[in-house]
Amino acid sequence: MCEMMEKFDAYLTERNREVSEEAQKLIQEERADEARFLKAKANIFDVFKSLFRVSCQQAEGDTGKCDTLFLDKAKSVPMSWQKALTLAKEHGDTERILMEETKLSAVEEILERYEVFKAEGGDGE
Amino acid sequence: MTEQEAIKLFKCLADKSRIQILKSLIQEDMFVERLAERLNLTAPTISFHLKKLEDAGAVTSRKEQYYTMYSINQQIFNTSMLDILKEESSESSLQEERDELYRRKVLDSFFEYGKLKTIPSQRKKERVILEEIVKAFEVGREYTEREVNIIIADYFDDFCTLRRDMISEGLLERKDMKYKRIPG
Repeated sequence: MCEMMEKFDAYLTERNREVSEEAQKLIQEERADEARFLKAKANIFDVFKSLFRVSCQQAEGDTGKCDTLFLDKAKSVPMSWQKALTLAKEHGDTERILMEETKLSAVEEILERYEVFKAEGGDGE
Repeated sequence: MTEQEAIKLFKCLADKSRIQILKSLIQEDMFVERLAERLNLTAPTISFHLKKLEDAGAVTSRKEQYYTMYSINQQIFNTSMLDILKEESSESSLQEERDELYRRKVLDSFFEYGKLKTIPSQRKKERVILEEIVKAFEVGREYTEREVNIIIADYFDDFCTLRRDMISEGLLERKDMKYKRIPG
């Protein structure tokens, strides 16, 4: 795994830890419902870490291929969440709206950071 | 207030953010964005909490031009704890509450936005969903098979299975190729 990939992997691990800690704080503050949404957000970082690692394995050291594989997965996985959000909005389902928006905001953050890591890491060599 | 309503209310109140919302609403009626700004929470988070508070009867809402204004339900908060504890429930009404709670739980699990997600494998649960769908049929009116299929298809694609199950469960009757709802 090249340096950029290692950094991105570490970032996902770190964000999962940070958001899980935030969720724990909310539980201690008697805000369990909001904590539930944050737990879902933390889980997204974990899911994307798995997606990234699988992409790297499938690419067998080819960073360009890893990039393509990861971005394909990273864009297709949230599609069902986007659909669920649209449906929830149509029906005024506030709980589902919040859940899907939380998950999608994590995806947005991950993809933004990924682009930053890529720009900083160049071709990864 | 029934026991179930009291439990729902107390569960709903056991949350710091919701208490903060109520503390704001006791000062004046507010809309979502105003509460979000005041409590430093996002608007979707506030909407989520307000929905829970409204379902529990703690707040009420009304449309005002472009906004939905929320108010505290004074009546609920004027109820004394002793009144709630003194409320007596007969065994039959408790059973009714339990049945209704079970029915609600099954419907929430198997329906999403009015559509059936899957047919329950447990007969008792399937009965609950069939009883819900059969409400779409008028009592005393005759339906052709096509009409029955169209009505059921609004809930689930496999209308044949549900139509047959409604008959075997005694919710619909078929006579001379016509269908009728059996009053329950």
